Amino acid sequence: MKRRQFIFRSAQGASFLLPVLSMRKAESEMAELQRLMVFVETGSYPYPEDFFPATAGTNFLLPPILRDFGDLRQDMVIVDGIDIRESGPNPRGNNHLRSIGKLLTAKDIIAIREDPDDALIGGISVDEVIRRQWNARSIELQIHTQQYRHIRSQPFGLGARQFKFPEANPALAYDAIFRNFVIPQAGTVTAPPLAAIRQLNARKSVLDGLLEDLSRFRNQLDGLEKLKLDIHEDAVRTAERSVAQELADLENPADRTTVSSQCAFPQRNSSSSIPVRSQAHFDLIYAALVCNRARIANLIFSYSSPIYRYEWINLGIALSSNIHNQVYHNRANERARHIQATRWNWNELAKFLRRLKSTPEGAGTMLDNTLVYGTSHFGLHHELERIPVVFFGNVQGRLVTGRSLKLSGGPHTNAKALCSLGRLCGLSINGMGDEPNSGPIPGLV
Amino acid sequence: MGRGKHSLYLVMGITLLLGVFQNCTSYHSQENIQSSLGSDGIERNESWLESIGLQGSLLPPAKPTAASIRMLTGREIEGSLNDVLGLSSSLSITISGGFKGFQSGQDLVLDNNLFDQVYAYVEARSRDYVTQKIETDFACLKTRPEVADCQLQVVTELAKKAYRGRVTQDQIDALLATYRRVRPGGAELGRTTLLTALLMSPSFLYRTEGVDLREDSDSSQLMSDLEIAEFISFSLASRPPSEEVVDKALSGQFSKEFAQQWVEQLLKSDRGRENLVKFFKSWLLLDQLDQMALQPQTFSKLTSPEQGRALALEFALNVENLVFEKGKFEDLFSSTEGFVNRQTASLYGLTSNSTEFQKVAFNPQQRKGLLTMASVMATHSAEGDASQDRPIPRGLMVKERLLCGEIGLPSGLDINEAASNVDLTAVDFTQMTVRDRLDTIMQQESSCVSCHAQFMPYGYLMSHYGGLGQWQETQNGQRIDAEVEQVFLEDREQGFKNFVEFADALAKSQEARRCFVEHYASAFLGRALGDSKPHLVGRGALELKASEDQLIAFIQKFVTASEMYLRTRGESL
Repeated sequence: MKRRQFIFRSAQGASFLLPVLSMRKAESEMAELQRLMVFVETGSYPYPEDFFPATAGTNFLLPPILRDFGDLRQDMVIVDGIDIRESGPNPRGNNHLRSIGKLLTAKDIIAIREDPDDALIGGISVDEVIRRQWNARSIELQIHTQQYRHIRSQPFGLGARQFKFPEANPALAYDAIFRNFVIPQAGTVTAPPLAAIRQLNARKSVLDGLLEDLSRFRNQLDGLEKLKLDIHEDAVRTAERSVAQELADLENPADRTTVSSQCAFPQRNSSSSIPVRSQAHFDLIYAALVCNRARIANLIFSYSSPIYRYEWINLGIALSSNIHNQVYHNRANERARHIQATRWNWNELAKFLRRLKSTPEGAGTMLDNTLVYGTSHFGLHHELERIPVVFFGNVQGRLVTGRSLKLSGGPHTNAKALCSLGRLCGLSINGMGDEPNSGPIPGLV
Repeated sequence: MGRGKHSLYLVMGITLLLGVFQNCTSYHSQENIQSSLGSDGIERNESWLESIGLQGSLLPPAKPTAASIRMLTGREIEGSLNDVLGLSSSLSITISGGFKGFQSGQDLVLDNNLFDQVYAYVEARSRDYVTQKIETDFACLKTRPEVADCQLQVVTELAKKAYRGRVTQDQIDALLATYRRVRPGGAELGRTTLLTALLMSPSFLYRTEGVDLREDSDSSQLMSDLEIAEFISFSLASRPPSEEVVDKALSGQFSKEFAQQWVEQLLKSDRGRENLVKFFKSWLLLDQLDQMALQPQTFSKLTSPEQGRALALEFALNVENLVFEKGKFEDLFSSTEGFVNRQTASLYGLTSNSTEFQKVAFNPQQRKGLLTMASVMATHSAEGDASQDRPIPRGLMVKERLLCGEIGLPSGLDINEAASNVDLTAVDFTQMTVRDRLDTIMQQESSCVSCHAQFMPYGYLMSHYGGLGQWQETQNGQRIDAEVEQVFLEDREQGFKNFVEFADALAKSQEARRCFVEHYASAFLGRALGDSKPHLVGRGALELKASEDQLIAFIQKFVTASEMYLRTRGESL
């Protein structure tokens, strides 16, 4: 069997696999955007008026769910009118899997014949397209009590059938991001730590050997289960890149010209409490971005249909029930609780945004150089219409913020939102997934 | 892979060649592998199968299972490392995929995050072995560690164990090269790196199903004896087959008769017993039982943290007693034996001052079989209220897990709409039993009834068991009525006074037997049964009957049946 070629890692390869996407960087005199964060919130199911402002323009009132974003009002564009296209497999008929699966790919999901409760992602997600173009490191995290390897948890994709799995345990994510990282100190030169370098070289030897071993193993299989080994091989290569980066960092320590003076280690935390994990993940993302350990951070809050009780805000959900059963499926009687819980989810993002905004960078703040895309996979109840979409950050002045945008003359699918996201990140693309020519959100830029 | 691969195997080469000529006792000698019924001494009783609704089930599946690889689960990695390194683990790793709650590595993929997790675990265990034990196992490392023969011996022996008999010269050479590259950094680093490389290999982390199938055939073929032995060992005991079994498999001596005896040993081993208890927990949806033991503080209904742990232990003792001591399928639902200690006795109206569990006989009017144990009923109850039963999850458990029924959502029903039509403030619920409350709610919205009627009656039968599984006659000041006149069993409506009476019917039920077989097959195979389901369930039902309902005998026959190990070439994804 011919071994799979990992051509997609190059820009050339990506364009081969995704002929509809031009991966050329926008020809612009402007500096490249520094960072991207994608926040997928899964607990919305909102009444439109609870998430979207009543009016368009700059003079809008914040809706109930985003009520606490007052100090961020001038840093955001709320987009009302984005739908997920109703197409492709829809396991169990409840939109759960296809909405989350298509949210960042705009590509129909792939059904699994033997498991009608799960599915595979249909294509590459927008964050990965940007990551390849930027040739940058990304991190994928999930705010949840434990690993849940299911499409409901995994909107991020390397390509068809290939998930980018988010890490739920912040301690493990911490290790992956900060192992062997030394925060540069101004004016000091430290000797490279030989033991750590030896350890990393040993790890590199292991990884090199594993690639050969995988190749031998693959030859035995002859066409079987290729995808599993592709993902395994990709993991080894990712680990190799990580080791190479760590070695380079140790041998040539970063200095203050590449790492912000704000760079500091976050707390290493392995609690499984949702509020603690949420804080830990946002702390980790902030530290990874500010210490230049990653340029793209992807975070999913819970998974499609969380079953928490929100006891940390005393939501009063019955012990025998949960937010999904008691609130999401009982919208008429539970609207107040729904707003309260969903507001908490978005407020976690707001805390992070404030942190970016209060971190000086260049002539402005970190938020000026970081695009944050907040979205959710459902509109009202389990519907695919009018999903939450919010852009945060002015993209170095390219995005006029402080606006509520109401789209008309639709349909306007999430492919347009993803296209806009890609363009704001410097990519020259016309669409995404099954809609390669959707164009961007009209009126956004 | 072609069969020529075997010539590369360093350790197995000669024995395998012998096996080719001596395979008269191996699995492959069975005359008719497509349907080994009959050759197993089990009557192909088509008319009986027809009488229980399984007509035609012995026909081979239209779409056989494709050959595949599967990654070891966390429990299997732990078990394998313990066997290979001879260390008892102080670390654990949680990795599992699975189907319907049954853990398996069928759908696991070693993605970026999982790779880092496994690597860190393997490296830590390797370091433990290097610092604690390697020089005891390989004396040459003390006296002549840098001699090539010694290094070769270490690598070869460890790789043979870790790769379950399949190790090639290329792999040995590559491992030695890794060691020599890293060795200048120190002996500990070199040895730890060598071991990490060895244990991160796909030859260790994956097991295969059908990689040796002939390339020139699209029809079903048997997996190799070694693959079958691996499958049985990991599925029943989450550990690799012993070296003795590997040698038998490689030398063509892995016969069905041997396998059946070995299965009994595996089942009765500590790991086998633990896995059997895990199966019963998964089957009966008892994940929360472990939580009750590990985090009793989150279950405010418990009278003490020890009670949570005692309930988990009670369940395990009951499973082992029912399977290994009582032994028959019907005992799962009709036995009045159980275990109590001072934490649980009061739940059964008994007293005990002992922290140790004692076997007791329960009141047969109140308790019969596993489902009526406090551990099961307490798990299918609210976390915080010991007085309340929960007919909905209990009924769902019976319908889906004991009778393999599917809950069909009535066409056109909008659950949201139905729920919003219910006014929970219209009636004073405080003086009602849980059953009366639910009936009142259902009366408000008739569309609710159409769905809940499919499963809630089974839950109503359990109304006497409170939130801790204790027997109670009254609830909220009202007398409990557990009788249900219309319960579906064996495709007909029947009436039962309470769950004890229903348990007697379950003990005799062919429907319950079929469902047990289906779940056991799913758990053993670690995957959805797909097109093989009718075939496996039909075969299993016959085997259970032929085993005279004896569970161990059934498992012995069922998991060693050739049909389990038929694979076809092709993509499984």
